[in-house]
Amino acid sequence: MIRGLLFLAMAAHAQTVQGVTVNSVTHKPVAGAIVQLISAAPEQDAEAELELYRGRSDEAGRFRFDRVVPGHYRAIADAPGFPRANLAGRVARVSVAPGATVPEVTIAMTLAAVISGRVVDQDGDLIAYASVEALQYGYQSGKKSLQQMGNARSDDRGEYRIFGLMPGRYYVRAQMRAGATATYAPTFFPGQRDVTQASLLEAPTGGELHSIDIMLHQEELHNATGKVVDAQTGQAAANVYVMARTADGFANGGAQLADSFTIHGLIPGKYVLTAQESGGGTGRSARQVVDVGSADLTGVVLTLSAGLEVAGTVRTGSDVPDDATKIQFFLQGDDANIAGHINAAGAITFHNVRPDHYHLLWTLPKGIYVKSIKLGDRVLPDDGIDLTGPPAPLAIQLATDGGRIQGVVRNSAGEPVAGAVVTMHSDTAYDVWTATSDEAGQYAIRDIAPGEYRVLAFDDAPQGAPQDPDFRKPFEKSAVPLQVLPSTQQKVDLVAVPGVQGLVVGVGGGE
Amino acid sequence: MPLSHLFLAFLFLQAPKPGSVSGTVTNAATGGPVRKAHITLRAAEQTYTATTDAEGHFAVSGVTPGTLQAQVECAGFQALLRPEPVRVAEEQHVTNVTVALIPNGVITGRVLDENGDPMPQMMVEAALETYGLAGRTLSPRGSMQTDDRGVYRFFDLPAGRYFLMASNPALAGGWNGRVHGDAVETAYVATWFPAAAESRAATANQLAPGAELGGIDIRMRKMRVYHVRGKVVAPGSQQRLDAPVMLAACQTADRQFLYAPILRDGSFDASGVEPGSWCATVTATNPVHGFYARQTVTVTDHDVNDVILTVAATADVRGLALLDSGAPASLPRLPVQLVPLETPGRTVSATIQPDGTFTLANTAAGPYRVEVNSRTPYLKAVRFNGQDAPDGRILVPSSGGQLMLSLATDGGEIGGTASGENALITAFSSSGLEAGPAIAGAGSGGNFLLRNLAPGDYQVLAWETRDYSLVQYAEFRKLFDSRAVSVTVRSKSHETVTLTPVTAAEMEAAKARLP
Repeated sequence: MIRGLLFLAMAAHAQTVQGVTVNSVTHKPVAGAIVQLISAAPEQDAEAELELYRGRSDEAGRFRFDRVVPGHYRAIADAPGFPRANLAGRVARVSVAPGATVPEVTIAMTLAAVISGRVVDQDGDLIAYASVEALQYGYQSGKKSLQQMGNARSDDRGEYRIFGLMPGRYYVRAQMRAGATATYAPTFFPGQRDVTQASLLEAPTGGELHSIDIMLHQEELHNATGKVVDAQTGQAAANVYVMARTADGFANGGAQLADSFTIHGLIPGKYVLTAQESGGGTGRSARQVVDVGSADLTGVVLTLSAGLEVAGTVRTGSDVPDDATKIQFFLQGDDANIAGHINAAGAITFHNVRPDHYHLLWTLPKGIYVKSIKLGDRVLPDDGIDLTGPPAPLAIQLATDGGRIQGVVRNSAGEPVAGAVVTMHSDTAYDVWTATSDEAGQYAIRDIAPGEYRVLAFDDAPQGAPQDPDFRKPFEKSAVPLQVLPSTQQKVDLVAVPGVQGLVVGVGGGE
Repeated sequence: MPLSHLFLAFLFLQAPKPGSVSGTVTNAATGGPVRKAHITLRAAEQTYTATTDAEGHFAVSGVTPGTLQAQVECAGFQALLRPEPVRVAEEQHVTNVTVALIPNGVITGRVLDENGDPMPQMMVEAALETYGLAGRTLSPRGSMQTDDRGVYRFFDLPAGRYFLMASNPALAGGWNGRVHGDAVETAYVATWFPAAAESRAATANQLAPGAELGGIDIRMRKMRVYHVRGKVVAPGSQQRLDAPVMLAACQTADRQFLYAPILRDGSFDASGVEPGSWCATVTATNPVHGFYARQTVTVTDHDVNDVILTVAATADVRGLALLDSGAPASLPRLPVQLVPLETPGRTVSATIQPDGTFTLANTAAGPYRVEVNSRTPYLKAVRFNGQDAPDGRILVPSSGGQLMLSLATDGGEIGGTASGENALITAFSSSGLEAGPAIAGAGSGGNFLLRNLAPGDYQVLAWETRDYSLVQYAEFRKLFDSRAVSVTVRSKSHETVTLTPVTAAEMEAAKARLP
């Protein structure tokens, strides 16, 4: 009921939002685009009901929404032939404030590209049902990796067509896994297994890159057999399931029956084998990396070990933090993500942690930051936590005296830049703080651990890239040094590093 | 000589000398050879594989004498298990094993707007006309989106009569929030090839084996569409209804499903609704708080703003199965189902435990038919909330209930001969709790045996073509009522009949007369 009243109160301040959809290359209006204005979810409320205003641009590309209630919005547009405008990474942001006229909104739309071709086998015979992907280097959790930007399946003529792609440079990869009768390993155009030797193809806006034909070679399938044993007794363990995974997402598994396991259908390559005792979170586990060559892999021995119990405390100064249950810590490993349990007394426990190297990640409520993390007497570095043996107690110190900075991001011509990504990093803090500038170029970052920082703003960087130290390195000389003081607000205006979208592809390198 | 060597020598002497199998795989439609077909020969202990060459030939040597099942697979063809096994005697070289594979076909075309311009990213569904226990149905055989040129292409389709429907996936809805100022008041609504609102008015596409039907262009219907708005109320419950309202065409699958979220104040707003009769439902099968609501909404030429959907909690139907009138010691795990007699409805399934107990959880109030998918034992009687249900139909109240099933093992048999080979035999009883007929295939010499039949009066028929689905279709079977042999099965009795199969030609002719 209260929310209803609030809504009515806001409605009284409703404004008109209008604008135009234009072709980003020709600057001509795009007629008949479906335009949607979507309210931004309030922080810490993932289940919030959002407001959606939907309309269509007219012959002159113009759209208009009346009675839009105050709030922050994203504007996105769809029209045949144009990939969704927000896929470009640049979303048109709109703020509607009570009593203020909303500036004209321009949604720039880029005509999509198409990549098409055929998939054939070693004899030149067509392959149906092959999976074909258009890939680009992108960032996930600050790590550079190949990401799928579009995909298609070959038809009965072996033909595929990947459409709706953002114009840009792509690797094209085809593969097919249909069991014993037809398994073809992932192959990049024009015929490489390794991305470093693959061709990087330029897909032009509004154009089609055709005849991107890929020949696949049928693979012999091999089995991996072995034994999962108990660390104490050396005997074969019962109730164990073994999985084999590749870096590109293939997975196959088998149960240990009697005293051995077999995993079928493996093409040559590197696999991570994991064994897990049934009982899920409480069972023992094992992990080993193996190479499958041109024959069956036999005699693999996986030794089960019990998970470690990692325990410690979370404190703000000497106090138990307020609302400790809202604080979340995770141990992230290569193939595990373990959430820590924090009780009301501020004790934290990670159960059943397989001995390995992990990264400690966290999400915190507003107003606090992580000041220090100790394992026993040792202060942890920011590049991970060694849990290969019995761990010393963990001591996590939080603090509430974080600094704040705010300012405006401008381009070299002095104009405010909307949607710029601001990062600040230091050699001592665990976090890389980031923020995105609003339509007036303003940004704000709070809860920053006091210390020496370097601040950078990127006009048009790929999503996630500014968090990558390797990506930032060429721009370090443009970084603004900043001393963040406890509980102090500072104003820092920044000049954005101009568009660097294309750079990610250029960085190249292996996965 | 050590004992083990002696044993090996003995084995060696006893091992039969191997034979070989070779043959040809052809395309049943063209008669031409099929290359790169995979042949698998399976014996009890061993499996042999081969691939055909450019002439369609394959050869397997070193085959241990015995009986082998031959399976053939090739991309673009129906996989085939050869009905007659391959028999290999000692040192025998079986040649000329021929297998004709039925090729699959292609249906391709475009989705067009009212000006004939192609429409990208529309959803197209291919439905195959089938006949079976449920009558004539259009069963989905795949769906895909049109590409940037508005083109779709279904391949690997088995031969048959196809109906195609295009819809706009963006219309389905599902936005979690409030939709305002929706200026899109006309919309492209679900359309059957070539431009029909319903499948009954649609044109069928007869796809022959290996054929390609091109130019199957669907012209989308553009219509004034409306909103259906209302409120979902749950008397006596503070629970948040975390499920969408679904709008589906009543009694048919001819229209697209539309979804609208239920907001925190209980309101919902479904947009893009075409005039007609819609069934609005809310279903949640959360194990603790299942709930269900259902109401028919008629949309004419304006928005419908006042729909009140009253939610009722679902309840559990708890049951016990008795075996031959006693508590069962160890039943096989049998599936039990409540099949809704009103559409749209949800089939509720459970497994009968070895001790005879079962729970059909989250059952919404309404009429259902009880089904136990078993003939050994067979379902003899149904009792629900203390009342006998002789036809297996029960009316579940919102409080759920107690379901008692009597299973029995005293079934009788019908055996005999059907002239010709490979006939299919059906025995149908109108008095039993089985929804369909008992089915068996005749073996060599035309002998057949139908076992574990619930006592009752049966109509027995033999069919030359082994079309399992078609012979279960009641309307089809009725066309041959005069040909059926009447048999009365008693507890543990064995009845014998001699049958003359309905010929393949008669079946084809009857198929054409179906409604």
